[in-house]
Amino acid sequence: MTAKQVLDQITEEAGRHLVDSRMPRPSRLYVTIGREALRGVTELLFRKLGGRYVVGGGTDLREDEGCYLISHIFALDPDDIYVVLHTRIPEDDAVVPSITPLIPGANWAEREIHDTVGVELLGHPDPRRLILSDDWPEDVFPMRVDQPHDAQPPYLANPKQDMKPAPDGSHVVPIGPFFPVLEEPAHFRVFVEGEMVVGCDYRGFYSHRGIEKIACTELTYNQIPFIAERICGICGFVHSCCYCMAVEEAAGIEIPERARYIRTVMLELERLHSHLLWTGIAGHIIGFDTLLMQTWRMREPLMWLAEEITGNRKTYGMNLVGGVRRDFTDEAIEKTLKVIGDLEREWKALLAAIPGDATLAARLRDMCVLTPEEGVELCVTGPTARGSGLAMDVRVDHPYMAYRDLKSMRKIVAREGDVMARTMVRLEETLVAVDIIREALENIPEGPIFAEIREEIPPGLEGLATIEAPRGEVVHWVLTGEENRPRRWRVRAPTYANLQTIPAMVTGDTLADVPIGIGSIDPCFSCTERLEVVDASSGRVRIYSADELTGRGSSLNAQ
Amino acid sequence: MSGEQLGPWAAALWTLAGMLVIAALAPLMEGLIRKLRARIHSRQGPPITQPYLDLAKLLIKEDLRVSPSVLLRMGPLVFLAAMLLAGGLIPLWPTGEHAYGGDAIVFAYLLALATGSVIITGLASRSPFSVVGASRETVMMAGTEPTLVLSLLVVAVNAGSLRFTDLAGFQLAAGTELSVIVAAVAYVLALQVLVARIPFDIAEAETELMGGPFTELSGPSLALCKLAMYTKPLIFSLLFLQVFLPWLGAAVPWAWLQPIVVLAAVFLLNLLAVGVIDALNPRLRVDQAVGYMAAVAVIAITAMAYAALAPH
Repeated sequence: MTAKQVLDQITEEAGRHLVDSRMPRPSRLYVTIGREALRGVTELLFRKLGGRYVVGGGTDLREDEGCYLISHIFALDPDDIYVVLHTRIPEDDAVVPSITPLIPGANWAEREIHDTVGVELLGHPDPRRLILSDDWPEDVFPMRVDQPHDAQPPYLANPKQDMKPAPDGSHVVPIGPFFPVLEEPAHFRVFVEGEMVVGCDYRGFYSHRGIEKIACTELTYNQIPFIAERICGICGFVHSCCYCMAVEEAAGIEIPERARYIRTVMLELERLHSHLLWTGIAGHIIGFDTLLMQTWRMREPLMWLAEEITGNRKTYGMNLVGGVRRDFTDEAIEKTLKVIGDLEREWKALLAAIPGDATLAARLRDMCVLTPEEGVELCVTGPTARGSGLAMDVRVDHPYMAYRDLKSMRKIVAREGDVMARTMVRLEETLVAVDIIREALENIPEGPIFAEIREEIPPGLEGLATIEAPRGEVVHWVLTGEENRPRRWRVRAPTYANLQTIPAMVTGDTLADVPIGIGSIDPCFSCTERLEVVDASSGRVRIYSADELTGRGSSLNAQ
Repeated sequence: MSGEQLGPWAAALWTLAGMLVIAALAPLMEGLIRKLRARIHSRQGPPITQPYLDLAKLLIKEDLRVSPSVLLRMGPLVFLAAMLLAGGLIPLWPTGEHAYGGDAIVFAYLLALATGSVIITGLASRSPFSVVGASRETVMMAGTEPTLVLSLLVVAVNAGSLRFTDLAGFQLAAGTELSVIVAAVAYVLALQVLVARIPFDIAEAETELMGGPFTELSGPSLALCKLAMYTKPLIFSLLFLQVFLPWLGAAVPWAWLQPIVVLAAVFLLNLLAVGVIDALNPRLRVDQAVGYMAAVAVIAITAMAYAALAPH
């Protein structure tokens, strides 16, 4: 299917509510419709055309156009098309129909739209706060233009802890906000009967830092890659690449071939160190510290290599809009080939040992299953999707950088949907990453690594870029603005989509499997941010408020 | 010799001596297991005296109690006291003029008391994690008690006595029996569960339950429980060697050397069996452990049936 054909179908569905459309390239379709047609077109894209919901966002355009811009992004993976659906909401009637009843995976994106720009979602089944903290005031919306980035509104006097109540007969066991297996604060409220999990609620965004806001108010185009890199503690380069690609697409900047290859190699190196880290963490979660220590020992040479090439172990600082800042020397290339060769040897030995280990299999097989149907409804991505038989990979479906030329790239898909399947997908992807790096380094073209940009980037241009991060699809959408900075920058990390599967995944399994279930989606809360197990039969649980604990005296609603 | 021959004061002193030996050596055993684990991890690991330092540091910290309940105050004390007392009952000299050992049934009672106090500590801590940990500990106890008691009883039935010295002495005098061999196999298979190490450290599973029954303990209370946990490999391996393999101690020509050789063998057994298995496996879930423990209990029951029915 071509983008033109998709546009024709949208036009037919929207009828007189179609406002305008643009197709700057065969893989990008930007359509603006009236909000009356939103549900119909959404149903067309999701159900009829089998599209995948990616993310949504709200932009405050009241100063320029007297409206809010609500956007929803869809992917048609088999056809390499992204459809960005815009709808303009008048500022005096800031209500938009919710698409979550149609697409469960849109739940969080819509709640975030409300939290950031204050537009009401009509018909949303669960309109609780998502990214704002419980004591943030009700009527202060951070992404509105009249809201300064450094405002410090007063705390709410009696914040609600808006968690779901435990079902009858079950208890709550809180996993988080601080818990041994979580490296970052998150709150999984797990409902159990004995050891059996009967439900789960999630409260996250404890590490929400307002990066999108500060980029659009204080930083410039070329400062943002450095903050983008700090969105995540593991996959920073993915974000800086994706942001630069989005701006480059918006402004029509072609980066040199050599820069594409350099970005590709660094992306795959990042995938290697991320998957090795994850394998160790997964081992630690199930009490197998030997796996943790050995995989992290194998990982160290990669970190030293990154430091030799870029000056840093993880935050490479390599990207600018227009290309990369550092080149690969011949010694660096030789060193890289040697390091990944050593890793490949040890990794193959590990891969051979894992399926045969009976105790490991007992802990990982048939646990926390995600069915393909659930995956489609919740719009998952990355190894979480591929472990359930959903064969999507941005490097193949929507090729970028050097991936179009590289033949070593192949999708790794498993069918079972359990923790073991997701584990094996990541383990085998590691070997594919090694092949890709080797092929890219052997074929890297000569030439410049940076395309100089001589003119200011005009405002009002849209760019969308996606990358297959170690955890799945990362999306950056940029709307260029004045003063050498974007008007709006929307980031969606893959864990944002994948975290929504946790309740479905852990229900029906035991409490012991919850940590490895959460771990198996390889959650990156920093990327996302922006569980309690309650057992009803034991009696009451008193939760002390922060004020009570610090002696200030006011009280929260208990439970 | 037995308690009756010694008189109560001498028996008490012998038991106390055993308790002190166990208390003094347990952290060293733990330190060696940690060192082995570190080497398997390709890392240096802490010094083998680290557990002594850990306990010393905990003892000087504040004992922050989550509730004024006397159960929470007594739980760790009873745990350690019961474990040490149980350990003190095991003879360091199975036979000969220095042989003193306790009663197998008292031993089993003391172990049950120890586990019971862990469970009570967990329940009294009122944390959701400690409560789940306590419930898991209950399941694990229910799984291992039968095997432990039955394997001891098999030897007791064969020996015609419940005293440890007689259990050891019987095999030295009469040679071994098939039922005893099978009981020994059951005991060895249960060893990893009895010492609560990976894959069976399920009650305390750090990544699942923070600290299990010990989650809310701090300072001296935690130190007592840690020491009690450290004694487990020592006690259960020592019991195995003295009851099922008494020839080891008996083979040593000099009496003063016997306990040293036996303890060295205990250390070796713990390193090669408990330590290696601990480092090379992930943790099992409680329901998976139950399946394993049931299978081992069946072996113990078979040994018992044979011991009871076969002519002596």
